[in-house]
Amino acid sequence: MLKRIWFIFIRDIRINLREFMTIYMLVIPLILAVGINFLTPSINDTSVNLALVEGENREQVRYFDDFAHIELMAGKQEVEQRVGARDDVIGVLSSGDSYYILTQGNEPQSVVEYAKLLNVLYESDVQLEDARSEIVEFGRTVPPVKKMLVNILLLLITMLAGMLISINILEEKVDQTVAAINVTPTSRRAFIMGKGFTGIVVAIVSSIAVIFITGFYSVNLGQAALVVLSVTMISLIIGFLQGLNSDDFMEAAGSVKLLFLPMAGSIAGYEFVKGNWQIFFYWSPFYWAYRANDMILSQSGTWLQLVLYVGIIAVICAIIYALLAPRIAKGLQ
Amino acid sequence: MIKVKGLYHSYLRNNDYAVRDVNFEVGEGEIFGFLGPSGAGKSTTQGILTGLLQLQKGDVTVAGYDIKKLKRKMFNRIGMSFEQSNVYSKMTARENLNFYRRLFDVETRDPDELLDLVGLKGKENIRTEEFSKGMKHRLTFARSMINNPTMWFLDEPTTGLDPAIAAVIKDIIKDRNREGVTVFLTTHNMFIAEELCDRVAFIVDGVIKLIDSPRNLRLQYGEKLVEVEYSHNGQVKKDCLSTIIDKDKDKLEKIIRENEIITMHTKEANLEQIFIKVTGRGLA
Amino acid sequence: MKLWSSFKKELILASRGFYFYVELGFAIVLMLVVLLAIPENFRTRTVEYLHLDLPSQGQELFIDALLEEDPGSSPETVELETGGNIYEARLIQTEEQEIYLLDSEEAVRELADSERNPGIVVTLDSQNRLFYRYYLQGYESARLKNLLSIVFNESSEVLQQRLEQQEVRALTTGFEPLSDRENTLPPIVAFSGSLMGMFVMAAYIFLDKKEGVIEAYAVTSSSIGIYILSKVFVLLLTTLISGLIIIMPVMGFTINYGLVILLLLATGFFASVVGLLVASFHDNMTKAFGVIYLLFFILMVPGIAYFIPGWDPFWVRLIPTYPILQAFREIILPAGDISYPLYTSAGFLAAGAALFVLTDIRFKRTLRV
Repeated sequence: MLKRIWFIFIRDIRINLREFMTIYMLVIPLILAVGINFLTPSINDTSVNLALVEGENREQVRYFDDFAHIELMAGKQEVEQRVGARDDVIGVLSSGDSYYILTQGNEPQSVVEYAKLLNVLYESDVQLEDARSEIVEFGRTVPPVKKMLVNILLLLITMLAGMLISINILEEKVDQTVAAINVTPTSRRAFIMGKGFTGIVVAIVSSIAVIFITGFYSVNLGQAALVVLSVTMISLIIGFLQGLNSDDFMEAAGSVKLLFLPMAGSIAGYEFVKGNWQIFFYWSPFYWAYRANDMILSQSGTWLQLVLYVGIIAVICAIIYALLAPRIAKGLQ
Repeated sequence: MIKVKGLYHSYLRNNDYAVRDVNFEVGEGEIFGFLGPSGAGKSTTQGILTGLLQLQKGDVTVAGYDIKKLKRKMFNRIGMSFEQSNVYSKMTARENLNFYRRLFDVETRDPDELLDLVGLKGKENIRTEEFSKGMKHRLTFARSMINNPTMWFLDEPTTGLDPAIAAVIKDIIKDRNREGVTVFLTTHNMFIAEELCDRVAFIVDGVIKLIDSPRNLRLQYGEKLVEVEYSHNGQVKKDCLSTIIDKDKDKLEKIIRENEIITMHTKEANLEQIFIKVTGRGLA
Repeated sequence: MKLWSSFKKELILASRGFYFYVELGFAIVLMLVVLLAIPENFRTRTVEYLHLDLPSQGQELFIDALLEEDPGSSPETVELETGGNIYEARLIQTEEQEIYLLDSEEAVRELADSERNPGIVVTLDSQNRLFYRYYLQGYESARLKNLLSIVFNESSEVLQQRLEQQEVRALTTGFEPLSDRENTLPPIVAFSGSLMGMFVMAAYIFLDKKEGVIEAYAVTSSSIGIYILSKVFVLLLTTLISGLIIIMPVMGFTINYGLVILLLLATGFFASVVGLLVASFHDNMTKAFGVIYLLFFILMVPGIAYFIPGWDPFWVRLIPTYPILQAFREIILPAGDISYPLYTSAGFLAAGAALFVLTDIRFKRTLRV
């Protein structure tokens, strides 16, 4: 049986590597990982964007540059035009001996307060050299936004794995080759495992690659692989179901798309919903996977906690499989 | 090799049967034909024999294996050529066969040899999505031989093939049969059935109407006539004469002696005519 | 007339397809999520650990200043556990912060490290001036660290007074900000409404190709343009319905639906033509989808800028979804600039029309079985 599982897996990988879409599915997480590396420094460096008149007060520009992003405009009118643009740029303009803050009117209050504070500090001549403070750092260089993006990417990889499986199953359906496989010594179980193995391998390899590309070198890869494996289970089930019960790629894609909703909801629930309200997301394996990944990427938590989360995911997947198994079996006939 | 007793199958799992009380046996080394129009129950029966459809009611053994307790290793002895070509479109011909052979536990045939046998030499490295319908069908047929089956299921093996290639396929079937392979052939092409089958079963509306050899059926249901076309005084004439009635026999003898014979055929009934006569339905 | 018949036929076909209902169902689910799961306003309070290494009088002054931000509240005594140690703390909650007042610097350091929240120790330097020691994680930006370094250099009363006196002028007034829930609508409508057209159109074409319908169409007197346009119209109808399903229950009748419809149709038209154009360059669905997915990921980048106001590089503003998001936002803002969605819609209609001509030419050449 193992031999047949292997052959089915190798066949699928070989064919997948010939198809642009599937290569894309394999490669896009890596590209996104590079994108995360590229974007997060600037996302993390979000202070406020100020527009000032060029040449009017170089000292002020130098001062503000230590605390905010500065754009220098030709004159007052240009500053007003810049502030009136779609984004949240605050103008600092002179009025007699002092400066006023110019806003468009729709910026978040925190952005306006930040700009006010900077100008007040400037006008109070509070200098960095006179700082009466000390900063002690714990040496963590990965910002939370990067951790969140990588975590989202890890869940996305499991979804892509499910889509890959559904594409492979759909190919069998379109070519009507399931019947041909059924008249060989290959058992249904071997067929399912062979098809599913592709998704599992792709998910684990992509996840580990993403973790390395984004610089999370010191995470426990064993823990990460365990979580990926557990969430891939749900992708396998859905991938099989949609592949077998869809007549074309569009239908399969539409069905898998529906899964993005509980996934996105689980992420939003974990990040934004506080405390006890998170119980409303306990049904979602994606919630537990996101939580487990967060723990792994933060290098906090214990194996016991991880095993608990993985166990919950496995139970949820088992329940879903039990409900869907008849439909999968019917599709394989 | 095949024993079927009291076979019933309903797709709706009610009393509306696609196959009803089907009984037959196929001996080892025999070519057995299942002849019937579309929807007669041929594919249903074949599906049950090959494990593609679940056995609902009846006793079926294939190659010594009870279908009720289907064992995967039975498929090492079975080959199946599907009516609808079902090869991987994104793989080449050779890749299709190489992949398929790995799924068996027995010795398998060389893919290139099989491709050559069915006239696909030179096409080994072409993806099957570029194959014509006939080429795909030949590949499906070739694939069914890859594990040297002793029990061979053929579903419309010559469909969509030109006469030359169809002749090649028929020769392959005969050769394999001479080597001892048992063949279960489903078709609605009476020429194929007549040419290849040792015995045929007529099935209509899920019920077998009769089972016999084509020769016996022709003898039983055929008319003993001779149709002769001859040239007489520059004119072409045609006559249909009995080979039993003395008067006609004498006339036939005279025509042969006194005229130039253009064509002469015995008018035995063909299987289609017999089928219509027996079942009241056509094969189409 | 032919266009109308073609459109009716395509609508019937689509309504018998699974995907049509997935789109509408998805819209309903999204609407329910927005209404029920997303709070009106996110109340994300930042957590800080604070230790006042000051004489008791100094501590009291400090605590009183903190409590002033939330009059009527009083500190609550709680226990915090970390690394096997339990620390007692007084919790002071303001509108934006949860401040845990701890009895030792060690507690602050340990909790800041384990819980990944900032810790502050306020002490006195050798000249009896307030000295601040911050415990930060390490990934905070240099600019933020600079600000923390100096923000308490000036006395808080003086700072507060000057902040209140700081003049702020706004280009537009009477502005009411959107609630957090309303703020999520533009990306949801843009990404799951307008942009979905890219995928759906490409899929429709390839499905028709697979069924041989195109072959049949090619021997009629109708032009390819009518064929494509009728499919686009069906898609626009779906986009419109799903967009309105999401928006109406949240915004009620407080916004200009004429603009909403115009923007949905214009951006949906543009997206569907992009999908068609990509499809015309490929001979199978999976290849086309690969390219479309890539485009979609690029188009999602302005979504980050939308939610993070401080991150707004120039190149992001060039991506088409940027104006789409801003245009939807202007429509739902109480005093939004209505010219912006109008210009945006006109722009996308024009761009869509130009791409449509290109697509028509491509399909005439390539739409063969």
